[in-house]
Amino acid sequence: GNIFSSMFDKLWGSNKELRILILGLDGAGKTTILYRLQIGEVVTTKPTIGFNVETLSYKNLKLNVWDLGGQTSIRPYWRCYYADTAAVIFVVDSTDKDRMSTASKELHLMLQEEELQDAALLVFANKQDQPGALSASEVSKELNLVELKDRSWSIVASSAIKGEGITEGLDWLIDVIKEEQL
Amino acid sequence: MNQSISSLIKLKFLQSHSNDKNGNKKGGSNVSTGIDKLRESESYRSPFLQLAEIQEHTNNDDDKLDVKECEPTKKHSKLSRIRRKMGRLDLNFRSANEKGSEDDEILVAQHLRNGQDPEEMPFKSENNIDSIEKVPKPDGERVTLTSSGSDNVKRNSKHAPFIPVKPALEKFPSSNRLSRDYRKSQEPTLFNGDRLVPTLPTVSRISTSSSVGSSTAASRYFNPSKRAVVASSSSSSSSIKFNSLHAIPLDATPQIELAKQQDEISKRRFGRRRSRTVDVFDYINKNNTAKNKPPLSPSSFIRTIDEKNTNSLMQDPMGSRGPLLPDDANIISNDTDGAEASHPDHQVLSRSRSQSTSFVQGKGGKRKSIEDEGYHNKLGLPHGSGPTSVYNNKSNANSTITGMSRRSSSIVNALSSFVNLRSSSLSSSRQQHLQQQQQLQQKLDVSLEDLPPVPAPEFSDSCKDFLIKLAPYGKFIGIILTEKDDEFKKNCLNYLLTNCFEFKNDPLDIALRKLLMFLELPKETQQIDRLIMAFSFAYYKAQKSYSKKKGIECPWSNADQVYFIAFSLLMLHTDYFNPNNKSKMTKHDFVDLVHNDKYSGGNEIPMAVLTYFYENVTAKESPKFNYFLMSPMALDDSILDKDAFDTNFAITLSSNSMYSPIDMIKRGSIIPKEASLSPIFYPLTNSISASGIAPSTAASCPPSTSGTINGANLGTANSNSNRPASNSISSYFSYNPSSSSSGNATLVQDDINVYSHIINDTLNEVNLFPEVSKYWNKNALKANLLRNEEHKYEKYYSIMNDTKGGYLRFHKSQLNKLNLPNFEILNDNSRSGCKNSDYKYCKILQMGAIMNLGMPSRKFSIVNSAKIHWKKEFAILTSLGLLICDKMDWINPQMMKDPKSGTTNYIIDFKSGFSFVPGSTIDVYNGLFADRERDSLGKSHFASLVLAYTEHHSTGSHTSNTTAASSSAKHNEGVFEPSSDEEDSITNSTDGTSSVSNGESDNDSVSSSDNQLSSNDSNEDYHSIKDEYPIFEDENADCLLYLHTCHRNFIWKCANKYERDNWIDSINLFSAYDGCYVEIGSIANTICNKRKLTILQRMERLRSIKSAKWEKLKKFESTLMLMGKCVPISTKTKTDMINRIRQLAVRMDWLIYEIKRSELFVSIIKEVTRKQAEKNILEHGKGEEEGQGNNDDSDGIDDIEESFLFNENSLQVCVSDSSYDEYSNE
Repeated sequence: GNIFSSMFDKLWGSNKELRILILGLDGAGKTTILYRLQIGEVVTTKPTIGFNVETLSYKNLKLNVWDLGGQTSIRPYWRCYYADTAAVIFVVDSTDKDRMSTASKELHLMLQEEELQDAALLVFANKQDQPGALSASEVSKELNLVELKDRSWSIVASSAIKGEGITEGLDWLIDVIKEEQL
Repeated sequence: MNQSISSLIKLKFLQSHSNDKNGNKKGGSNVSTGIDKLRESESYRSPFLQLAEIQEHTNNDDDKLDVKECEPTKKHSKLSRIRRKMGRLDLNFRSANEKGSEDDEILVAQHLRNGQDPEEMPFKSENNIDSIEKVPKPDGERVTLTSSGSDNVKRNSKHAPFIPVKPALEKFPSSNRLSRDYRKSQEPTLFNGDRLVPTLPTVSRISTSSSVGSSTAASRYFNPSKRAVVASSSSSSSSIKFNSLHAIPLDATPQIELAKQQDEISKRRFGRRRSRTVDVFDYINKNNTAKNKPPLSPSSFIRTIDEKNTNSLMQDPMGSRGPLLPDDANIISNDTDGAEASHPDHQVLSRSRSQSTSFVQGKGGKRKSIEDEGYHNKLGLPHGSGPTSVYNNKSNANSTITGMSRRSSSIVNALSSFVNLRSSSLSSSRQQHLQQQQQLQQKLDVSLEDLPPVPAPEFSDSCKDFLIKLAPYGKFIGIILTEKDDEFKKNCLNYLLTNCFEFKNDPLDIALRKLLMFLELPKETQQIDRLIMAFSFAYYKAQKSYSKKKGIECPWSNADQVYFIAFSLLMLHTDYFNPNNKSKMTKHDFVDLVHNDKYSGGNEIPMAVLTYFYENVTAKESPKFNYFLMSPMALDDSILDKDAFDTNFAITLSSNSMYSPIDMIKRGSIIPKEASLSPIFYPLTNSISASGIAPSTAASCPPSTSGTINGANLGTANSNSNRPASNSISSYFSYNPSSSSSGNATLVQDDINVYSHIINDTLNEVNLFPEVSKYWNKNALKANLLRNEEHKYEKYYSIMNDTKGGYLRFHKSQLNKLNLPNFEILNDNSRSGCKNSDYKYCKILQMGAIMNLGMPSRKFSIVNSAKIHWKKEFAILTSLGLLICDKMDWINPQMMKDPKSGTTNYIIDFKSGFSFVPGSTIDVYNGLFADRERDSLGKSHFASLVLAYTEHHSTGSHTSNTTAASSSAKHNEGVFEPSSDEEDSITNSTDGTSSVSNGESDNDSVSSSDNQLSSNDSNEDYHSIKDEYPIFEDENADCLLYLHTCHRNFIWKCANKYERDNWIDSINLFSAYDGCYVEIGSIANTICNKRKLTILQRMERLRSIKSAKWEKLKKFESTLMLMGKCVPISTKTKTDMINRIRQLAVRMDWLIYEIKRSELFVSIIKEVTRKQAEKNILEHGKGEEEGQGNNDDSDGIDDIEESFLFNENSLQVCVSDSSYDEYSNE
């Protein structure tokens, strides 16, 4: 039953929410981006103690975005959340050159998770507004994104503070998701 | 409802509008307690413009709101704070000035409604608000909002709302009417966004109909400050009154209202907004007129508001502050005393009322946004957004109303922050109010940003030093310490959690609640992670030392495992309670997820506990707790609406100490708001200032009170004086059906209020340890099964060994009737063609009459006598097992000489003299184990047997009940079958005949399923067991024998202690050697249980059983402790947990049984072997002199004589049945 219904959902594009994870090292700007993503109807809720979860609808898609950080140690718990994940948004602090390799490692480790094999990857090279920020292509190089096979990915330079690049990134993501879903 | 809500929103607008006005007045007498707020607002300037600006931006469908700051210097701090708050939206405020001409358009005139359009008069004015409340008559009544402002105020659209308004109300007390002009022609700049539309459609219409400035009949009046609307209906003069009200927690209610509106909006998107001018009234009108519904009565408004306020106060575990709320969004209330005076008829909301429900906000204080969760739910509102309303009053009595934004709470709140007005001049009479407000502000939610900058740790600082420095930051310490991945801070956090929190008695979920109660959870996931990591470390440490102290294996294997579970719980909490997550984990999902996780040790947590975790976490949302400051002045009006503050409390902190919840709990220095009738101060600002750190929020700490407020000084006094108060916290927290808190949606009646127990340190009163000790006798393991005096194992062993002895003779055909285990035939001579092969023998080890505790039957229950029914029975312990028959007249021993061995033996012909049901088989009991005490091996073994009896006597003549009880008891006896390896061994050795029921099945599954079964029908029974039912212990305790068998358990009463001990020894010896290759002396064709093991193997097996079971038991024991710690919130969870505890205890009882039995058997075998060896040595010596055989024979005969309990003489007695008379006479 489940298989059929999920197929059905995919075929006909149901109202089902798509789960998106926002990952990245701490301080990369995940939370800011998460709230920046709230394009369209802004839905405000009282804060629930726990993690940041936001729902937003964009271009007729309902997105359920979880800010899960990216700590290696907690990865096991997310497995159940990985399963339905349509996309991963990975946020990188473009100015943090020192931890770029860490970020890269985290990212690639993460993407090895079986449940994430089908997830699209959107990388935000964040904090472009700050001096000394690496460009998107530089970040891409640092993260070894080219090595990613069989995955739709994109890197977008962004400034969460200024709100730049977010829409572009999300547009891309939605397109990809729609493509894959339909 | 919609109507009232929408109009309510309008009111809110008006309120804020009035705030503006007040600000303009600069401290006119009309300005009431809200003045300080006014002060706060640096500039009220052109909030509308900004609003409009924002709106326009939102219209663009571009979510980036770029509002530039117009007055950077003044507003900077505020804005930045707002921005922080509104980080999600990243609103940039653009100067309103930039807007240019459109500014005017933004202004919406507040119109005064004329009586011309009675239908449109939504409000009925009442003189008295209370009466209004009482009389909610919406229909056809006109509502007049009276303002004390100038009469016939004409609206001038061109008048910017920002122009300072003179205290018109006071100046023109007699002129009651405010007429407001509509600016129809103007384009609405305010509401551009589609989402904002809903109010618009009516605008044009309304403006046409009611825009005329001539106010004749009734003018609507909105009481700006209050959620109340004061309407004056009767008189021709309509007056607007401004109630002196404290700031109102607008954010909460308006949010809800707005949400409601949004709802509406989404339902009907008119999209037909032509005029951009929006009047608050328009919306009301629309609602009232467009729908042709009766005008809304103000009373309903008031009630709505009141309800909302109280609700929101009462509830709101979590949403005390919306994430997007600007800090300083204030709504200011105006006090128009003059208006009151001039219009005595029109009563204004009483101040005390307003105070009791309003919050004051101010600089440094946080706005407390209250969201009423329950209300939310009630309304079915998914989200709330706050309205901003601006009320502008001009000196010439022109008033303009700006519309509102419903776009989002964040925007709204941002706007509302602009609305704050500053009042520069304060009359001395206001001073007190101001202070009061300032103090009240303290109790509002504080955010870390409001506090002075966190000091950096000095190089020389130890963890403790630093923590003391951080103490004033209270619950934010967690955030501070997790902000960066810093080794020192990590150590500090560990130190804090280890030393300042006490987790040892708490189950993980409660410990987590405790943590979150005292430390605010950081926002960023990695920071959360750090906090949880430190928490897990501390928790594990506490648990481990606790377990060690108790001599119990720690249920947690390491800190990582705790971390995993804690994280899962937090995840579950988010998953379950975050409305943004639509697809919730089910219980099954959660348990599966954790239980299948081998990587992190989640699989080691018992399912029962995981289930408990799930149920407990989801039972109640972990609220966000707020600290607040209460000042004596603030108290005079009972600012606190009792039940509102169940997530708020005040804390006294002694100086120079760490922020230590453990200490606060112990000292009882956590005082719930309501209970504190003496000044209690949140130490935050005070101790910061005391410690020499210049408080940036100095204004919030007025000099007049700061001295007394000093938490350090008051610490002890408060903790003393408030002791009773803190005790009353439980009554406060605990469910009180009569209190209005019963409406709290999150608290079900019989649920435990965890937090009150945490604060009162009474968690141990509600945990499950009492249940555990009810079912689990932790001393069972120490039970000594051996008697002090000499055992007779050896005697019975030699009986077993000797050929000479007693035999039960069966005819071949009779064997079918016996429910026999697998047997083997010793000295089988049927193969050798002997004619005797028609008969089989079985060796008798012990036989005799016993009194069996009879199952209460219908027959006896009628009598309802308290006398115990002991049933005379006859037991024969044979090489096959134990036979119990209820008649013994068939026993007729004959002396027969066995041709082969040359021994003379007693042969008893097995006759079908048993009074068994024809066709049924006769049970031969195996898996025997006899004990002197009932519960030495755990409470469960004979519980149901005793219970059945107890029940029998207590239920008396209720025969049906009794039968049911007895049958269920029987059932349980079967259910509590030992499913041990020991039984396995028997089964294997006997090849699994029907007599061993569940030996081969998987231990766990069988017993758990069995227990599951039994739990259903005997749960209640357990509760009614009197633990020491005297019947069985009082009399003849020395004669009682408790017999375990595979099938059922028996309680025997033997004639005397000596006999009892004989039975015990014989039975246990037989069992010890059961299934092993032991030399059984026998005549031809003797059958015995199939032998499979050598004695050595048997010993080894018993030992391995023992160690395996021991290990398991230890594990269970720690599980039991884990379960005992649990504090189930809901009753259902508790019931389930008790069941599981009972099941576990039963399983543990069986483990003990097996362990003890193995132990005993090993010792029996050892002893026998040793004695045999000694004997052999002795006999060897003897044998050299006298010869071996004779001795054996004579010994054996003696033994047999004894074991039979009858020799030739006694035999006669037995046959004549006289011996039973003796028993019965007893």
